Amino acid sequence: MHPILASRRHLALYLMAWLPVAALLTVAMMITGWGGWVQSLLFVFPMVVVYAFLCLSAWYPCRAMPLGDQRAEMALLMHIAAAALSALLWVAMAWLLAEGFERSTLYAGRTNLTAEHTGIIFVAGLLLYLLSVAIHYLFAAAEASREAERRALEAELAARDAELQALKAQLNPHFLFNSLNSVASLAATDPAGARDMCIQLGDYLRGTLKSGSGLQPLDEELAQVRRFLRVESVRYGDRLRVVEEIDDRCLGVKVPPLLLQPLVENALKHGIAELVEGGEVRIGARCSSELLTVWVENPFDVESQPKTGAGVGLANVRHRLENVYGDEARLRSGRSGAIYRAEVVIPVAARASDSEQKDGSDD
Amino acid sequence: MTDELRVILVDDEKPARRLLREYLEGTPGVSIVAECGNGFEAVKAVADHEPDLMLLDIQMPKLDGFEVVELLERDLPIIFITAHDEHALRAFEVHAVDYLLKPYSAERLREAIERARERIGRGDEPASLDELVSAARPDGGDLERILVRDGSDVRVVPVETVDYIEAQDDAVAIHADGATHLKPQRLATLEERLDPKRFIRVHRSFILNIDRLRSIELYAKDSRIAILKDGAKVPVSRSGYSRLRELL
Repeated sequence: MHPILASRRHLALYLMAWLPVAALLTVAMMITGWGGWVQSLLFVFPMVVVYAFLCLSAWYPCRAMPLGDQRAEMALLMHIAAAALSALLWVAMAWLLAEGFERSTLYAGRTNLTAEHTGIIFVAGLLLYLLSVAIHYLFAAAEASREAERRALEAELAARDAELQALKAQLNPHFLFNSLNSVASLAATDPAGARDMCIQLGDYLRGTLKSGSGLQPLDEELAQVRRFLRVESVRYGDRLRVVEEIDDRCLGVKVPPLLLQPLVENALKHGIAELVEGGEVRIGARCSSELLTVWVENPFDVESQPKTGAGVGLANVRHRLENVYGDEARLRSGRSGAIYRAEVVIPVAARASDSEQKDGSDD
Repeated sequence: MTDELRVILVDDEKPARRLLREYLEGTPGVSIVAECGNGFEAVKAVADHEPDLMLLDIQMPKLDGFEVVELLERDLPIIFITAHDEHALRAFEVHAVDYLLKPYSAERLREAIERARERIGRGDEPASLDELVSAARPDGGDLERILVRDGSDVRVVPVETVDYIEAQDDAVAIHADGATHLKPQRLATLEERLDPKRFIRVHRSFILNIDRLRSIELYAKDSRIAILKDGAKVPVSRSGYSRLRELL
C-alpha cells in the first residue's frame, strides 16, 4: 500500500508541503512577466495539484529498487529517467493549459509560454520528482524499520508463547495426575517401585525446569525423553515398548529443547493409549555433516478417527523450529499403513560446531 | 444395607486398577465381580454380571468411558474416575453418582460408594443414559461412528457406511453395508447427533444418508419414494422432500 495514500493525514501533509512550491512557481511566473498574480495563480494551481499526484508514482520504482541494493547506479538512472519523463509530461500540460488560457477570452495579453518558462517548469519538475523519490525512500525506510520492529516483537511474543505452551505441556497435568495415581497404587504392593517412580518423576520434573530456551545437545533431550518414558511405562506396563535407533554421532548436535518430547507425548497419547494391546514406539536419529534427522514412530488404531489435539504438539514444535532456524528446518508427519511417523530435519553446521568441540573433549 | 454391592471396575491402566482393587478390598460390603481393561470388556461384563455399580475411567482405547455408558442397555449407577477432564466434570456434577479425580484416597472412594448405596437404597431414578451422554458431550460435534450392541459384543458402525435409519417402536434400525443393526434409541436423539448436511429426516420414521440416494420417484400425489444405490426404497414425506430439495 502506498504510504502517503494509505492515510488521510499523510496525504494532507503531503499536499500542504506543495503549497510553498505553488507559491514559488506563482512568483516565478509573475517575475518573468507572464501575467498578474491572479492569472499566474490560476495557471500554477492546477499544475501543482496534478504534479503532486504524479509524483506519488515515484513510490513504485522506489519499492521495486530498495536502497541498499547493489545496483544503486542503475536505480539512480531509472529515477532520473522517470523524473525527466514526468517533467516532460508536466511541460506538456503547461503548454496545453497555456493554450486554454489563450483561447479563453478572460485574459488579455500574453499567455503563451516562452522557452524561459518551459525551462523553469522542466527543471522544477525534474527536481520536484527527485525530491519526491527521496521522500518515498524515507517512507520506505521508516516502514521497513517499523516492519522489522513489529516482526521482532512478534517473534519474541511467539517465543514466549511457545515457552509457556511448552511449560504447560511439560507439566502436563494429565500425565502428573496419572503418575501420582500409579505411585499411590505401587505404595502398598511394591514400595520399592513406588520409591523408584517418585525418583523418576523428580528427575523428569527437574529436567523440565532446567531446560532453558537455548540449544542443548541431542543427548540431553534424549535423556529427558527417556525419563518421561520410564514414568509412563509404569502406567502402560507392557503395552508400551520403546526402541531406540540413535546414531551415536548425532548425540552432540545441538537442538532446541523440547524438540522430541512433544512428538513422543503424541506417540503415546494418540498411538499407544488408543491401542488395547499397546505397541512399539521407535525413536531415531541420524545425521550428516549438514543435517540432523530425528524421528518418532508409533502404531495407531486405524479404526478410530484421528482425534483433535494431535496438532497442538506438532504446531508447537513447528513454531519453535521456525523461531530458531527460519525456513531451514522441517517437520514432516504422516501415516503409512498402521504406523504414524513424525520427522524433524534441522541444519547441523552453523550452530553445532562449538558443541562438537566441547563434546569431543568430553568423550 | 446387608446386601453386598456388586461392583465392576474399568480402567485401561493396570496400576490404576490395582489401586482401585486394593481400596475396594478394604471396603466392607463391596464385592468386585469383574475387572476390565477396556471398554469392550466393560460392556460385555455388564451384560454378563449385571453389577450394581460401575467404576469407570474416561480415557481408554477404542471405547472411552462415555461410549461405554452409551452402550449400556440398562441404567446403571456410575462413578467416574479420571485424571482430569473439566468439561466432563461439569456435566457429571449433575448426572453421575460421583466422580473421582486421580489420585484419590480410599476415604474419598468410600464416600462415593456410600453415595451410590444411598441412591440405590432410595431407588432413585438414575439420570437417563441419553441425557448423560448428551450432557457429557456438549460440544461433541457430529457423530462419526454409531455404536451398537450385538449380544454382549459391540459393533462399531462408521456413519459413512450407513444407508438409512428407520424408527422401530423403542429402537432404531440402522441399515449399513447390507446389514441391519438395532439400537435402543429414539430416532430424534440420533438425528441430533448426526451431520445434518449428510443425514436428512425424509420421513417421520426415516433418516436417509444423502450420499446413498440414487433417485426420487413420485409414487402418489404428495408422496414420493427415494431409491437408494443398493435398490432399497425409503418413503419420503412432503416436508421430507422439501428438506431434501433444500440440500440438493
